[in-house]
Amino acid sequence: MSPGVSPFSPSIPCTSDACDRIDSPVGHKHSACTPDLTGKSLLTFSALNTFRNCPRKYKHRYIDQLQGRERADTLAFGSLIHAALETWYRATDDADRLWTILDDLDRAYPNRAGDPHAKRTWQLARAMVSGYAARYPQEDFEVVEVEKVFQAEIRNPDTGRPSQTFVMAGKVDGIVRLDGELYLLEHKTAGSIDANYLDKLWTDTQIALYSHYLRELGSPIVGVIYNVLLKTRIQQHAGESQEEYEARRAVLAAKNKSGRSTAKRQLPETDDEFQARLAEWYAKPEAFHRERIYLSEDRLAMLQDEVWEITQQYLDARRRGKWLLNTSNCFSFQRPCAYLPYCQSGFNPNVRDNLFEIRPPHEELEGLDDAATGETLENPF
Amino acid sequence: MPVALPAERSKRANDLAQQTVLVYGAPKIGKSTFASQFPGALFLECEPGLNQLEVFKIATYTWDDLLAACKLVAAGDHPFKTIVVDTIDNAFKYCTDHVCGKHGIEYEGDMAHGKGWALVKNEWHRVLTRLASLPYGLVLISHAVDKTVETRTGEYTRTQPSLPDRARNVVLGLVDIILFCDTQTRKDASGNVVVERVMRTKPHPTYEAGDRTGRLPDVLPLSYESFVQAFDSAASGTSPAAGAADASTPPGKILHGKAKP
Ligand code: SF4
Repeated sequence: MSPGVSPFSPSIPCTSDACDRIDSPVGHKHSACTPDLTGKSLLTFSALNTFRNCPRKYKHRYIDQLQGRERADTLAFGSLIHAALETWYRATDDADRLWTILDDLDRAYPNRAGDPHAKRTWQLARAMVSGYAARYPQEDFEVVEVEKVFQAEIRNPDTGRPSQTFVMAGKVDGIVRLDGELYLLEHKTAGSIDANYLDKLWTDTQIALYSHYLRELGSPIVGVIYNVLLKTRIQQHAGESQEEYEARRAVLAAKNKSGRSTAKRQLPETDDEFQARLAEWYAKPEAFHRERIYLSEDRLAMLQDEVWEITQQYLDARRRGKWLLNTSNCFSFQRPCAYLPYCQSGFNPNVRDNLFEIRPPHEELEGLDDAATGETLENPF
Repeated sequence: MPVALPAERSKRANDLAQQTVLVYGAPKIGKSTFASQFPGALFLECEPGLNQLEVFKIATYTWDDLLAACKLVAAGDHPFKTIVVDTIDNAFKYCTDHVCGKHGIEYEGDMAHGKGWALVKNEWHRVLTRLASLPYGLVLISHAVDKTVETRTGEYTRTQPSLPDRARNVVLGLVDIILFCDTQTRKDASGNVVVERVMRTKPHPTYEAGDRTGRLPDVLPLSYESFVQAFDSAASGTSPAAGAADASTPPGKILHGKAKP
C-alpha cells in the first residue's frame, strides 16, 4: 500500500501530516499505512486509552507516529526488569538462569564504568533480580505462558457481533495455574507500596480487559496476581572529600576537651560493599509483594461496553477528521504531556520536526510471534 | 466595492519582515553580521560582542532594560523594521533573574511545586509572543551546544540552540525559520580543501533547523544576499536551490549502539 493511504479504510486518504513529509529527516516509513495481519486494524490498550484521554494525543502518537527523541529512563528500567523476569520464567528448568540474566544486565550497560547513572541502574537491577531469585526459588504456581501476545475480536456488547474495523491486540506478562485455576501474572516495579497503591490495582483497566479477551480465546482467567518489585532508594556512599573530612574533624575536635579528634575520613563505598548493602535490602520481606485480585463479571461487561463506545467515538473522529485537544489531560501524572510544546505552538512544524521523530507505535508488540496466527507483529497498526 | 470572482490566487506573505527567524551556531561564525543585514535592524544587545559591527543597538543587560526597549519598539515611533535579540540565551538568563528577584528566591527550584519554573516560562512566553506579534521582523540569535541524545537503541550527539529545554521549546514554537550556522568542507576545482560557512535549514537528527515557509534550500551560504535571494526566488517560482551550497554532506551521523560520534 502506498504512503498516503489510511490503515483504517483503504479508500480513505491518510490524515497524517507525516505522510506529506517526503523530506523527513529520519526517512518516513508510515507503518500506519501498512495493512495489518487480519485485514482489520489492531487496537492496543495504550492506543485506546490514549484516544480516550486525548484524541489529539492519539493523532500525534498513532497516526502521525511522533515520539519524543529521548528515551524515558523510568520506562527503560521497567522494561529491563520485565525482560529479566521473562527469562526467569521461560527457563524454569535451567539451574543457571540467574547467571544468564545477570550476564544480560551486564551487556545492557556496557558503559557503566564511565556513566554514574548507568552504573546505578545496573547495580539496582542486579540486586533486584538476585533478591527476587532468592525470594522465589520455587513458585506455588505453574507457569503456563510467558509474554503472551494475543489478538481477539472486539464485540458489540448488544449484538455480540465483532467489529468490522478493529481487533484488540495485547501482550500479557504471563499466565499461571494456581490451585487448578488460571491467573494473569503481571509484573510491576514500584517506588513504594501502600494502601493507595493496592487500591489502584483495582483500576488497572488494561489487565482486566486483557483477561476478558483471553477468556474469549479459551483461557478461563479468574484473576490477576500482581508481582510487585520495589525499587530501593538507597544510594552508594560517595565518601568525604579531604575538605569535608577536615571540617568534620575540626568540629569534633572543638567539642573534645583535648582539642583533638580520632575521626577517620569516610571513604567512598566500593561496588562490592554497595552490592552487599543492596542485597541486605532485597532480603527484607517488604522488598517484594504479591497481590491477588479477582475479576467480577460485572466489571468485565462494563469494560466491554466502554471499549465498544470508544471505538465508535474513534470512527466518528476519523470520519470527520476532528481530533479534539483535551487540555485537562495535559498535566496528568504530575508531568506535562510529551506533546505539550507541539500543541502549544499551534502545531508548528518546526517543533514537530525538531523535538520528535517518527517511530512506529505499538513497540510493545514488535517482533513477537503471535501464537494465534504464527505470524510476526512487526508493523501492527 | 463591487464583488467579483477572483481571476488569480491570492499571494502568500512574501515579506521577510513578517518572519520570525532563529539563528544559532558556534561563536564568531557570523550570526550577528548576518542579522545586521536585515532591513532596518535594531539590536537588543544582551551580551557584549557587537563592537566589530556598526549597528543600531540598545544595551539590554537586564530584563527590565529589555522590557523597556520592547515598549519603545512597540510604540512604533521609529524607522526600524527588524528587531534582533542577541543573544536569547542571555535574555533568558535575565528573565530568570528577574522572576527570581521579584519573588525573593535564588533559583527557580526554590519555590514549592515547581512554581518558579512555571513563572519563568510564562514570563518568557509572554514577552517573546508579544515581540513576535509586532509588525516587524524578529531575529533571535543563540549559541549552539552539543547534547547527547539517548534513544532506545543507542545515543548520538545533536547540536541545538543553547537554551534550557523549557525556554527552547517556547522559541521553537514561535519561529518560522530556524537557521543552523555551520561549516562545511569541499574541494575546489584545483583540489584544494575549502571551508565554507553555511546555514542549514531543514531538520536533521543531528541538529535542529526548520523552514515553515518551505522556500529555502537545505543548505545555503551564510550570507544575507543568498538568504534573500533564495527566499525571494522561491516566492517568484524559481528553484530555491539556485545558488545553494552542496547539501550532500550533513555533519555527524547517527550512531547506533553506545558509541559516541
Ligand atoms: S498537550 Fe494536551 S492537548 Fe496536546 S496532546 Fe497532550 S494532552 Fe492532548
